[in-house]
Amino acid sequence: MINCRITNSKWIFNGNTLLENVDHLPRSLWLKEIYKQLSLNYPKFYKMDLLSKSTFLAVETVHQSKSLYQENIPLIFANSSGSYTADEQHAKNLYQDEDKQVSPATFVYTLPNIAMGELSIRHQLHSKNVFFIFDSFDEINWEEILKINFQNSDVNNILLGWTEVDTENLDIWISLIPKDWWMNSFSDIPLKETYYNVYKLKK
Amino acid sequence: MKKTEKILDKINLDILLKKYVAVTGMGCISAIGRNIQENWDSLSSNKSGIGPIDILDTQHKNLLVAEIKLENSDLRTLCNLGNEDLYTRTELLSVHAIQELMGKVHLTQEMLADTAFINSTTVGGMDTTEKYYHEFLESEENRHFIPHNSTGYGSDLVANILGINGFRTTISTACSSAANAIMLGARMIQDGLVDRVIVGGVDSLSKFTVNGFNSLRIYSDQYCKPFDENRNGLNLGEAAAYLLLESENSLKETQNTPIAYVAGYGNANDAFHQTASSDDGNGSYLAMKKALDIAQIQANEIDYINAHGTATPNNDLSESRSMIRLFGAAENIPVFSSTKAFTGHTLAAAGAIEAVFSILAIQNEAIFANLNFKNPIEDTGLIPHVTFKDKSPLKYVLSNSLGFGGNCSALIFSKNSN
Amino acid sequence: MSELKEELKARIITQLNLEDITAEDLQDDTPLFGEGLGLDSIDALELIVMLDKSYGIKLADPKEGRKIFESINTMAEYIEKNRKDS
Repeated sequence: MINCRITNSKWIFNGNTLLENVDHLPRSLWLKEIYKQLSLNYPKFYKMDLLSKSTFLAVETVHQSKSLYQENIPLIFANSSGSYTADEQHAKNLYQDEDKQVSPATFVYTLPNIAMGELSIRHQLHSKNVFFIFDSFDEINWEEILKINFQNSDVNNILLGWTEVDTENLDIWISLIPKDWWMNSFSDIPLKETYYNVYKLKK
Repeated sequence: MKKTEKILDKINLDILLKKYVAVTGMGCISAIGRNIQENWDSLSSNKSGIGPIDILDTQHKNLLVAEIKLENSDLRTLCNLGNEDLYTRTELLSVHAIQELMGKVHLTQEMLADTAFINSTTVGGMDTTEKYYHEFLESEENRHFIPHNSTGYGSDLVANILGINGFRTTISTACSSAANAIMLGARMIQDGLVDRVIVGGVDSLSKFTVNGFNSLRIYSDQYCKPFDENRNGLNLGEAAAYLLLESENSLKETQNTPIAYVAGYGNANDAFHQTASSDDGNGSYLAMKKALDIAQIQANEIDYINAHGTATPNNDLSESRSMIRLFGAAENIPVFSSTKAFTGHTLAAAGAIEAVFSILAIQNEAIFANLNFKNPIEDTGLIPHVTFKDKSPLKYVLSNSLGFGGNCSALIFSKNSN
Repeated sequence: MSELKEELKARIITQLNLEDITAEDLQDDTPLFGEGLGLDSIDALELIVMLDKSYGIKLADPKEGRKIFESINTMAEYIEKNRKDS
């Protein structure tokens, strides 16, 4: 299992902190730091909203460890706030002046699955995508989700994501789950530990 | 639990697919009817629900919409939800459609408590948030609506109101949302995770979406013309539609009669652009192909296609090319039509309302019209079916729903379980 | 006209979130779409919005945008001819 976690304060890969937001940069600048660390040359990154940017970077981190390019990897993501920050921006523009202020580039991101579209474009993935709204990470029965999606001999890896970005927070968790790990040693404990690790360390 | 017990059987796909997924009931509300019967009446008499805006409070009065001509207060009355303004329009439409569904099938309170619910929406409570957007800061009066904004909140509320207490979730993948909800429901039944599930989707009209699509320059100020050479954009609509899916086990308990089956499904990403479809319709092609594989049928066994057909210059060309590719040649494509010239593009609900129409087609041996069509797209020469036709026995119907984010879904409904 | 061009470069970089690029990088005749700057269809729409908000020019048909947005030069020319701002 390969895992990446991005929060307001840390960028973590497989349990190891790669970078800390020591200067308490606002989210947009913090994500730009991570982008630079990944040595990416992908100008489209800058046009994305916070949800797409943070999701993109977490997946890029995983990809640099195990290539996702053109693989048949289902993307199963979820969060509780949908595309909140893009919605908020679009609403601000629109309800100020219905005729003048609407930005098409903002509207494009007012759907939580656009981030998965960006990943698919970047890594040329034509696989299945689904996006769920759940109240919290804990509520999700990842075991069932993996069962449903591994029932197909073509699939050797699944990319799971909890991609929650609300008014203040970045709460991104991306996990690449290989089929043989699932078949032989699945337990949801390591899955949850990779999500909660950050909070344990905070104490 | 021992590790060995956790290792799931190497269930191979063939055994899995022998479990059928029966559709035993439906409920819907759209601009062409408040229930299944009214929708059928409009479809069979070529009566569109698109027209000028009456209820939505927007400056863009030149745009045409498929609006349900019922105020929220009317919907509350019809749903027996009292006089207080406590529900968003999205929630009210859901309740209305599911109440119709529940009235048509045998489901006791106990059975409902054991029924899963997979809803889908993109608007969520935004229809109400935008009404009180400025007011929220100034007065407490409507602040109770604030939590309703979230796409998941409404699903929970609706399930609670109706006593649907099994597994619940909300899918939000743009215009393919409800198709994905149906797909997930079918998978969960086939995997033995649930026996009975209400699946579908809803979206109400909002300034948020009307202005958004208008800013993308794909909103037509004329009656939309799916698959026509001179099409210039979509008209938005609102709707709610739900199906009850049951396993063989569940049927033994409920004794409901199947009206159709979910025979196949597929989802694939187009991987081209956030909102535009690829020139060759790759995502759509892959989704349809997967659906055929699951249904274990050949392309030439499809009798009718309810296309996504939004009437945008981009979608209709891309989708046409994907159909040509799937069927090998233009002349091999079965009868197809887009019903969005009736209902408008209902966003998240599209996959569900069109599933209802696909099943109505099977039940009634009918093909629905692709209204407003005059000239085929020059590039492809494809001609959709332009009028209502009955006495058309249908075994397999394919329904496409292609969402932003490259999220392409295809569903195949069948008359019989094999 | 050269003032307008500099202004345009700055506006484009801000409006389209082109963080990696400075005004110096943007030549007057760099193709904005396709091979040059690699802008896409959504960027084109944003430029249409910019024409309206900043210069009072309403473009009825987005397809007209193709020619107008070829480069800074073509944009500046078009705006000079058609601007309706005070």
